[in-house]
Amino acid sequence: MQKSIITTLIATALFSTAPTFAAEKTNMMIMDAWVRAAPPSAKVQAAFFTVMNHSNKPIVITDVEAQGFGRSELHLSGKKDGMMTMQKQQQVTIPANAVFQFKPGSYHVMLLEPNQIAAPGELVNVSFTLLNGEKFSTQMPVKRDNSKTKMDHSKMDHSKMDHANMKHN
Amino acid sequence: MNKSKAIIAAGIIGLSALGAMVANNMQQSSLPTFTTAYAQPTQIALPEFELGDNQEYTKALFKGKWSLVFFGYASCPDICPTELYNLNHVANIMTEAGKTMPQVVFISVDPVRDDNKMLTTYAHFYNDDFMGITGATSEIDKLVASFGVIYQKAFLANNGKYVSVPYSSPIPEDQRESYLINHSSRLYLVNPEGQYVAAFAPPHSAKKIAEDLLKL
Repeated sequence: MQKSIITTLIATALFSTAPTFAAEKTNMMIMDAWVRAAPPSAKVQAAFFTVMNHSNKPIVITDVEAQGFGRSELHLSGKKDGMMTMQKQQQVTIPANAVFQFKPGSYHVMLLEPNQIAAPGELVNVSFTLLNGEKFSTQMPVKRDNSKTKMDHSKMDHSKMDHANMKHN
Repeated sequence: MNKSKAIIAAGIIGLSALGAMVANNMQQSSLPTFTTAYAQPTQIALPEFELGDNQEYTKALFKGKWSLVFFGYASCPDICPTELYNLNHVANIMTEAGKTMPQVVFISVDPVRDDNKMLTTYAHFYNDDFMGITGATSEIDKLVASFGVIYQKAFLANNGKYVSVPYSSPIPEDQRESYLINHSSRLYLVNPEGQYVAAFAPPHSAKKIAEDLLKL
């Protein structure tokens, strides 16, 4: 247990942002969570985050729900037959002692049937259900872009980005 | 046949060949050597087409300026927003470098759910200069054919898996609003003569795309 607390502390220090959620029974954390802002006319949004599994067992996410959205699904974007496709995932397994990313162009939570598209600055409450029956939820801020976090986990290159010209409405 | 005529004939043939070579070279020299983009072996002139509510978008849209063309749809949850945010980064890099950003044309292959007004708002959310257009599937498909785009409608079947069918195929009633579209995610470069000349294959890096665009 002590080790996990230390790991948590180190991770917290490393990521320089507080974990948005730490599960009590299952030794995992969700960090760096965000819902990507979309035009008001959009019909879907996507949520991205990093899961840290501090346990020696895989963690399986089986279901996801988001407040303000009629339906939420675990998805994986990928290339198939020369097209970008999305496949609904019945479950997503986070390997033991691993850091697993839900990121643009890869795993994400697809948020469908919005009551209203979530605007930048708002928080979306996202609940997860694990295979062991445990449930937990976390607040995810809506952002246009996540590149301003100190540690960018994505492989995208934002080194030349000019934030001054970005729209912040 | 006298000798002088033969010489003249040979000269004409030689000059024509030289002319053709020069013309060919001139065409090729208009395209720099790209680092990331795949140059087309031959430049493909785009066909006649009519998109927009009043058929206002035609071949002329691509004349006189460089363009970047991406095919997608407004209900696209991940790929299209990622692409448009990325293209906004490209635009910022180009602006910083004092260069003109090619016009960005986002073409929706989903005219059943998307309309031109909504697509304009959609594109402007990412960058005020981006265009979002659509039209009749028959017109979209003319460009689809020229660029070699592929797209299919995908709906959620009873087994929880997505099934892909051609766009015009009927799908279950309850999926009319929520279907997805699988689509090519190449970014196409069109020259100011309205010819498709190169493509950027995914995954797209704003920095690498800009690096090639700065050479134009």
